[in-house]
Amino acid sequence: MFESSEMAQLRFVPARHAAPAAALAEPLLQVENLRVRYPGAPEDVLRGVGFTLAPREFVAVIGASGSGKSTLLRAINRLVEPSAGSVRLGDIEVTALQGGALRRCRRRMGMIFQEFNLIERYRVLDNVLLGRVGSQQALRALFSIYPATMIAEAAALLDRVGLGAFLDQRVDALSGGQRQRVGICRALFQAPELLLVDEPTSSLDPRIANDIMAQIRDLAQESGVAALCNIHDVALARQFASRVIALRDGIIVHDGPFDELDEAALGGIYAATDRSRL
Amino acid sequence: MSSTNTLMVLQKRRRRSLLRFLLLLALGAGLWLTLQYLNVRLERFATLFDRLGTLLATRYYPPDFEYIMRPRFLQSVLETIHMALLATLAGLLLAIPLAWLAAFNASPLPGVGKSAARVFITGARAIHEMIWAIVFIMVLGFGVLPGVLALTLGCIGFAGKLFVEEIESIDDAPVEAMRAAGAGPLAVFFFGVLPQVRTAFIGIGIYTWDVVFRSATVVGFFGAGGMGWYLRRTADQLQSDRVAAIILLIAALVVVSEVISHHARTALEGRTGQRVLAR
Amino acid sequence: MSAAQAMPGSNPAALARWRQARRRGHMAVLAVTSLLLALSVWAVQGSVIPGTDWRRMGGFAEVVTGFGRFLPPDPTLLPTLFEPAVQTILIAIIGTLLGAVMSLPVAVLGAANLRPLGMPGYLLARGLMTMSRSIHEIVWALIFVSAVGLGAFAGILALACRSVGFVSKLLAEAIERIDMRPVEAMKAQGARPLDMVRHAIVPQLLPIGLGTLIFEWDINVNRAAVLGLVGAGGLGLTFHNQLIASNYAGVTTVLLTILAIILVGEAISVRLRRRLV
Repeated sequence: MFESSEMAQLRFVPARHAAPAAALAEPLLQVENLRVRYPGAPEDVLRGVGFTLAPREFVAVIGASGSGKSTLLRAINRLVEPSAGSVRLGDIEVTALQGGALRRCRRRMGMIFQEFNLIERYRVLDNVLLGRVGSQQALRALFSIYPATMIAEAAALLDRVGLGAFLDQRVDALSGGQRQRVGICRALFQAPELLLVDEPTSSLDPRIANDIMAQIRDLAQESGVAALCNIHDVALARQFASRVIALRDGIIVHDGPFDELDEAALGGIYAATDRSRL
Repeated sequence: MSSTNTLMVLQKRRRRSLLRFLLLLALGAGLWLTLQYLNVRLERFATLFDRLGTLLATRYYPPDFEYIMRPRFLQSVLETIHMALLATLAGLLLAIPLAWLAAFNASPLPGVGKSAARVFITGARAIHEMIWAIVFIMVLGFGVLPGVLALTLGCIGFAGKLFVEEIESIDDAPVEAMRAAGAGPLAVFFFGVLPQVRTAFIGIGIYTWDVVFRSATVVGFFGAGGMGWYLRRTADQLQSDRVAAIILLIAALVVVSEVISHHARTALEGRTGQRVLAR
Repeated sequence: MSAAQAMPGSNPAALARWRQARRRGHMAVLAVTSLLLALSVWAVQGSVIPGTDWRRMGGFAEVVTGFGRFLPPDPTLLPTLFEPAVQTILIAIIGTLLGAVMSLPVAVLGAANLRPLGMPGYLLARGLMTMSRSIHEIVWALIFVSAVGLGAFAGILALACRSVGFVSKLLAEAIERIDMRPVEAMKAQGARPLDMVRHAIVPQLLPIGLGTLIFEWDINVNRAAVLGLVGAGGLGLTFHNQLIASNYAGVTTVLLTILAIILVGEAISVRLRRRLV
């Protein structure tokens, strides 16, 4: 693929993640007693959630629909405002940030969405480039002007997920799986320290769910990014994550290796209909 | 493979953004030249709101409501309603057969008849009903009849186009079934086409009433009957307080008519369960 | 159960219901037809008969010769029509553009899901939309001629004000339908608010907005041709001059020119809008 020597430099190399070994001891993300109540709702969706995430760790979050998985991810990057508790990314208290500081902090967290959330009318490459639009100069961002090296970097990343031939096509011409790959590239192009992945395969054909999950895990590990991944499908969680956080009614009921979950525990987490998918 | 691909994409992107930039530049230059050519001075814009404000405050305000309550004026309002009513009815009645002729999938005369009907509908729409009014006045003299004729043409142009679009989007199967059974063109229209478009036609008809009524309020501006003539006279004599009263009355009438037709359309939608008109 | 209903092969009760429904349908059609007929008679008697100058019109033959005077068109006029035609088209373009600029704030204020100024702003915007559409372009032109004097500027302002209603209404609907998912994605990656508007919202609104503008421009050419009659220049003024000179053949030439422009404009408009999707 990258035989020519000049293009070899353009291979996607995550610059920021050459984390020193000492940092591994310190958690990347610390969530404590996180509570969320939507305006007008009678009860909390998250009722005091707490866990830590080490750098480079890949953790699956499982739970029935309505258990608060999605809210948890969105409360970490403050798409949803937590009503109480603390979220710390490195040594920054995310819940205290405002305006520009919050935006800078969000740039350190990439998000992958269930429904891709791409700009349908933009080309694949432009969607990926948008991952860094926030760190561009305002005027350049307005006219979508990016340095050539950045464009090459984005193209290399797309090549990596097998979309090199599609980078000049509009997103609305792509299939669901291809779109999610664009979404993965956009999130990784931010050069984040943490990936928040919200049910990446739920809108896709089950047959390609494995491929997408494998791609997310491999890319995350390759670039040294930690990932917190919502998965509805327990089989997928078992396959890809060594550590599983299980949510039920807004509370963590399990945090640890998947194997420690027995049939009875899963039965408590999932409704009967969901268990049939095991 | 990927390196050439990337380079090509880079070049393409650069070319695209250059083109977009040039296009914007050309548009800007064209805009500036046009404003020069039309003798529009932008500095007048700055004072526009000021002038408009004082104009409205001193000359148009307070509106002379007494004027529009005079019996002669009220008579002209009634005349306006009459004109709109006749023109809408006549126009719709004429537009239906014309649309039938003009629709490519149902026309009984697919050759000359279709083209002629298309030209007629397009011509009726392309020329503004005020211009039609003047043309009719040139032949028939001042009065209500030229106004009604002009509005009728406007109605045909407006409703005709929508009718044609509606007929052209019907399901062809019932029409073909009837043709196969040996039905004549008239029978095909009445029992194959019309039942499919009836609800849409009624909706379009109600909508057309709004448009025709709006035009009817001013079509008398050049002497084609209705309240438009009073608008002209008061405007020419600079009786701005009266003009203001007339404009407010027109707006009120149009709004009332629109509210009524909106309710009629929703009632129709409720009864038939079909979406009547996109707009 | 009655004996009649037990009869095999037919259901008299259902048949009776069918007859009744049919009769009710016929009655409704009859009622609407006679109502419309009565309204027409009332209108003809109330206004058309007393309000028309029948003596000036004369007999049927005179009317036919009257219309005959418009033919054939006068081709010698064509060269002089070029400049007014260009003026009319340009007035329509500038008027539409100005209307678009004015539509933006109105649409934002009047979008039910945004309401940046709350209910008062929403009602104001909705009121402006109705006002813009319910006042005829001629009336708008009258107001602006009295404000800025005769000339293209008054016509441009009139077209702009007339266009605001339709354009801002469609734009407000487009805003209400915006897909918020890309906006959420950009927010999550720490984009600035301006970037979110530029990259997540504008691409969704631009095709609808441009399509509406092209459509409105098409209509505005038609309107611009009339505004010349009240002093905004262009083809309307030429038409007016031919009218005053009683040059019937010239009037026909002007009409055909307008028709040609509209037809070409419509063809362009359809093609452009199709490319926008």
